[in-house]
Amino acid sequence: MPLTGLQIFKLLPNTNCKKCGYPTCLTFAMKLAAGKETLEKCPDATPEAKAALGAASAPPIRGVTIGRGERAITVGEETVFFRHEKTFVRHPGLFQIFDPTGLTPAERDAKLDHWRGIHIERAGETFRVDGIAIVETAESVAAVAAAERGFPVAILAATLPGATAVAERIKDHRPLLVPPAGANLEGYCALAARLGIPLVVGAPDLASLADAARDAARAGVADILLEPPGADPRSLHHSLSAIRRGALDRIHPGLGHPVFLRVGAGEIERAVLGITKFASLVALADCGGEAWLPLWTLRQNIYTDPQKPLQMDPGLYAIGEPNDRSPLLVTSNFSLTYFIVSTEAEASGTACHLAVVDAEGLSVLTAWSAGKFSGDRVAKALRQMKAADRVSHHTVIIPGYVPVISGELEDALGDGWHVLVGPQEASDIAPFFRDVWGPLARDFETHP
Amino acid sequence: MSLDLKPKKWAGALREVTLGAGTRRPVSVGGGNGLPLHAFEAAFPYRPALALEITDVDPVRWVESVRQPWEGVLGQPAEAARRAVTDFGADLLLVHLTGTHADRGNRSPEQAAADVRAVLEAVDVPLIVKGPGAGQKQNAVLARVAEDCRGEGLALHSATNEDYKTLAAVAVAYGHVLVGESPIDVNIAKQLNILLADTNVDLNRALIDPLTGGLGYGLEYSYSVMERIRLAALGGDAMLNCPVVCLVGEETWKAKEARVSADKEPLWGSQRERGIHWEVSTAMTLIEAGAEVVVMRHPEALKRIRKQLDSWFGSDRSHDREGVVRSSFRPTETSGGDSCR
Amino acid sequence: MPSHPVRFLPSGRSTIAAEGSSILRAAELAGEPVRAECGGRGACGRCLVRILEGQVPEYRVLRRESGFPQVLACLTPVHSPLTVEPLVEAQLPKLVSSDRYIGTEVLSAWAPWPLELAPLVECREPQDLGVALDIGTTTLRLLLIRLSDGVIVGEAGAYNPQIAKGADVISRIIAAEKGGLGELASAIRAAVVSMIVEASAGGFDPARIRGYVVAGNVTMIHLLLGEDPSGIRRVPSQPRALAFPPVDAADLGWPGRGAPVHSVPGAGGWVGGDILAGAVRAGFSRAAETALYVDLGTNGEIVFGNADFALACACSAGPAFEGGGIRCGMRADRGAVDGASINAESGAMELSVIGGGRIRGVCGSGLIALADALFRAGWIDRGGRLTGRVPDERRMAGQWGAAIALSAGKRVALWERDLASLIRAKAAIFAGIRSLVDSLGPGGPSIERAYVSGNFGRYLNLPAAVGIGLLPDIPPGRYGYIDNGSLEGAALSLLSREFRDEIAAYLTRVTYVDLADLAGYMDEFVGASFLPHTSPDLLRMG
Repeated sequence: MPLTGLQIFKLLPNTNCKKCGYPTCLTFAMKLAAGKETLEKCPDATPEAKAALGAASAPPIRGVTIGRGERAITVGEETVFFRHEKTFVRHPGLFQIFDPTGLTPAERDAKLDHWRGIHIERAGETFRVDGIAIVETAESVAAVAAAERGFPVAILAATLPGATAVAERIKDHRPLLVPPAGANLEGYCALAARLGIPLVVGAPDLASLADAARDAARAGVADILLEPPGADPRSLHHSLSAIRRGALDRIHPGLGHPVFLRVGAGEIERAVLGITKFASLVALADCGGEAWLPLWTLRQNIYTDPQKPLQMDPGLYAIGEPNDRSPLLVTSNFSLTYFIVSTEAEASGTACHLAVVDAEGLSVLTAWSAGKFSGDRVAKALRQMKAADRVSHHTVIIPGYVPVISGELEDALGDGWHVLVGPQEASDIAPFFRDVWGPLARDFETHP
Repeated sequence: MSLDLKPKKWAGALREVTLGAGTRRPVSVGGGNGLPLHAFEAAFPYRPALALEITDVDPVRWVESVRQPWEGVLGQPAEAARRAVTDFGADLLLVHLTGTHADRGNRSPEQAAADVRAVLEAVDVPLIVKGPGAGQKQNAVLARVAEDCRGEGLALHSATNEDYKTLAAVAVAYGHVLVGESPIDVNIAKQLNILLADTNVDLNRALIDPLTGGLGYGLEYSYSVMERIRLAALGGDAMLNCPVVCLVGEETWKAKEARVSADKEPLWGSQRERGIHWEVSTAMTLIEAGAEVVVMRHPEALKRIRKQLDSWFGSDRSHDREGVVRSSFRPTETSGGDSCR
Repeated sequence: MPSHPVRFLPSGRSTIAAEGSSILRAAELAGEPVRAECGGRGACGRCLVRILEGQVPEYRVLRRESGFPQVLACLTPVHSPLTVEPLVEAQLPKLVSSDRYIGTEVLSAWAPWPLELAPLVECREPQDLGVALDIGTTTLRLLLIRLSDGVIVGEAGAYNPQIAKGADVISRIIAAEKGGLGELASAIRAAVVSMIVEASAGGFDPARIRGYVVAGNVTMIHLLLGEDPSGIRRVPSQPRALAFPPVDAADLGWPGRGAPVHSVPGAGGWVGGDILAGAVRAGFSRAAETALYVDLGTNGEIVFGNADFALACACSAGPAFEGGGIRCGMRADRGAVDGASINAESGAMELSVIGGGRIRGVCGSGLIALADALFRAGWIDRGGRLTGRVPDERRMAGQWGAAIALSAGKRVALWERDLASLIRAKAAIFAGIRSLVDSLGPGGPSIERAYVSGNFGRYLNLPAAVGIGLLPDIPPGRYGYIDNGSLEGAALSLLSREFRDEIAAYLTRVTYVDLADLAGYMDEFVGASFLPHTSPDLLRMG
């Protein structure tokens, strides 16, 4: 049970000396309670305080890193069952399962290069293939090729000798060792412990799984992922939920590890279950972008910190295919605002330009009262985006909730720019285009 | 070392709400006493019900890959209803009266009521009836539908905090179920139910629509609000334990990612598959968060979700003597140890 | 760029306005007093004008009377020459003083622990005077005090003239950013001079003033001293300073040669000296009991703590408690409804009016009493909307929705929108209280004493305030009412160095909590936006 701000405050010296960087001991105590600070910052903390706070702080689910370098991925260190309790912390890695059997070296390299080249931007995040899970074959060149391209590699072992050969070749790239289902784990534990690489531990039921993980740890494996039993959705859901709850409640030390999940071709729903229900690494059999895109997006959604709104990159976005006579709307870069406005704008059937202004991820009204959506700021953003070059009509439509910035915005833009106050609700964009913009646009045609 | 995973027991449970009455074959939802799909520690007398959306007029904005399975019956509610039930296996239908909107046909309340009656005659599944959107017209349309179809246990979509009195009155007067809609906020959802209860709506005849954000467009907001609603319900809050309905089809198919062709975005893969995955992912995620009624558009997406749910609830659907549809699911006994095969 | 002449009647003031600029801007240029209490967002309705000549866009016309369109000046662009008639009284009425402080011996009446007379400013002669000043966002109060014995000899009150530039602090900061700082500073300094003259009317000589202590929120102090307030509304808040050194009265144009003007320091951009002075005046710095201090004003400051700890926040309640932003709202003046009850059987509504006589509007305490009475009688639902129980003769409808008539002839009515504003204001306060107390963690201390302060009326109907969920439900005996903690604290600071030092020491212990940083605040706010609360259990905090 974590300590409350007031409980922690009573353990502190109450001198308000400010050495921790906070104005009062109470402020510092509240930050400690929220997990946003560490006790080390207080030079005068008593041994009692250190003891009381230390016990509560070791994470219930260990962190594990796979791979090295820029693409290394760390998973685990989760602290809650429901994302709204605080947030989920480390989004799961989505690995591509790759069976190089029967491929020529050129074909194999082409595939790896293709996967490495994939990147899709969405709401400030770059989606890419996080790693390659290689089906172990007689030779280990594919694994080496993947590792050399910087990919974190998971070795989907078929046999212990085979896995050993591959693992030894790429051990410096910190690969994940995945024994085959039902295998005797002893040899794999020894291998993982010797090479210092992470290991997946699987078992047919939860009790055996927990014990197996504990045994692996005792055998010297420092980093473990659990593979949950359950082929059908109901069993899998049960395992995933039980493991997370068991780890958080500290029922058994063997449960306090991140979770690994294998998903076959076309099993989108299984991947959805994994992403929503706490899997830390999901290895997917070959599927195209039509499956990856929804899964990356789902991961982005679920793993967003509920307290930190997603922000769009500021800039001029095209809705449909706008030209220089299309309307120009401006809005804030809170991603939900952007999505709602852009969806309604698209649904209106009228192509337009949408200028997204950096308002630090705040919605329009909130941004305005914090001074982050003022006429000056919007004008500056429009200038940076060179909006004047994109529209011949020099008219900008502002959200209906902030008509007050219109004068200041016009002044700041100068150059004969007009400001039009748009609707308050995004759902009124279509009627607005029809009833207000339409007639005006016709006027511009006849009186440029 | 044995694994002592104690099942979680809760003080409260979801209300059981029965949709459809009169000439309908009723479908009940809700009644569970645990977190969604946590069959290992709780009992769920009913499985989530899957509905398909049909429209009164041709839905011109539906992307081609969604129109295609409905070819020939778009904008013909009775025919679409038959196909939805007989060919696509929908448990329920949502009749979306888009044509009554001033900008999309401005159909009258009388015409709307005639459309709903035609559907009632065509199939025997319960109906959810959705109006043109908040405002005077919606009240007039739904009131007329409610009156002309009295006693059929329609679910009227929807009442809000700002405008609930008309629909509350007609739902009570004509024996229908009321859907309360709130803007992705637990408190507002609760407030609406309190206001409804204050005006004598029986909350055992009410559903909560917390507003669905589609995948990529606010899904996580709906997800967390629904988890919080379920937790409050299980904690004993009698104003938040109505079953939740999610309009998945309408929201997910708005997304650019569900509609844009691979010609424009080659990395995005086939639009047809992608769109269905988009709808399936949204539906599955929200069922995990507690959706008890899911309204979809693409019949293939519905089929896939049904298959997932069969894993929990079995695939037989038998009727008991009262005509209430029950799944064959019975919760397994759980003890202190755990086994999962 | 084309431009058009705009003329205001009946004043005759006119200007040339740029094409497309708002009528409100034209009024500013012309010097025509048109109020923009919401800062020009189209929210308060105070800038309603009638167009006597000229064209305005149809979609901005709210209604027509005798063929003349009525529009909101802030939202309506100038597209042709115009003749405009403002419809809302822009001049502020005079605040009626009640002479209730004169004769009070400050230290014995208000000191929270025994204090010796040791004035902060030098007292050379028996007739030497000091001034204690409370600069509220909405109202100003001044006490003239004889330094030799600490007795109040004069008092005055006025509405803060800065209201014309905005009812709330943010609007005034924005006005200052647009070049209005000089004007805002002069306006308030001039108002204080008028109050000094009024307070001295009993035969006292302002030249005898030896010093001033001013308490006000951080923005008010900045504006008074002519300091740039723009940093206050940044996130995080960055005022120019929280404590300013004393300035010479002459620099502000105030009487008293060489008289220093001290300002009570603040604890954060949104928790100013006014609140700290009030909290120390209520005994917070020395009490063992955990106590709550709530200022029911525009900024909604709250302090919670005791001798060991102090938390403070500001919850932006808006001007509803002082009658602002409410169609029928007014300050607690003659003609203001300040109490209400509805007979359960007969359904008859009875209203008490300040000064008796004709109803001219509703003040803060009247709003609270009305909301409670209407809710208990079932005339409004928990969201503040009218129900079928409202008797036909009281029910009204208009361009702002539905309303309940309060005066005969229906000139004064309480609109649903006004109830919505009140519910929002009370939700902000209660959510602030809840969030502040809960920020210490679950199972936190209970509220053992509570003090309420504000300018909503002569008294606060406590059962009504608890009944609508504005204040926590704790045993009523724990509540205390402080008329004007800020003013009283300023007076105590003037007369006792020890008290002044106590405030300075207390301020180092105050932990300011920014509600925007508290994850649960918005949730609490929505939960509290209901009568009395979405989850009434949360009201019990004793």
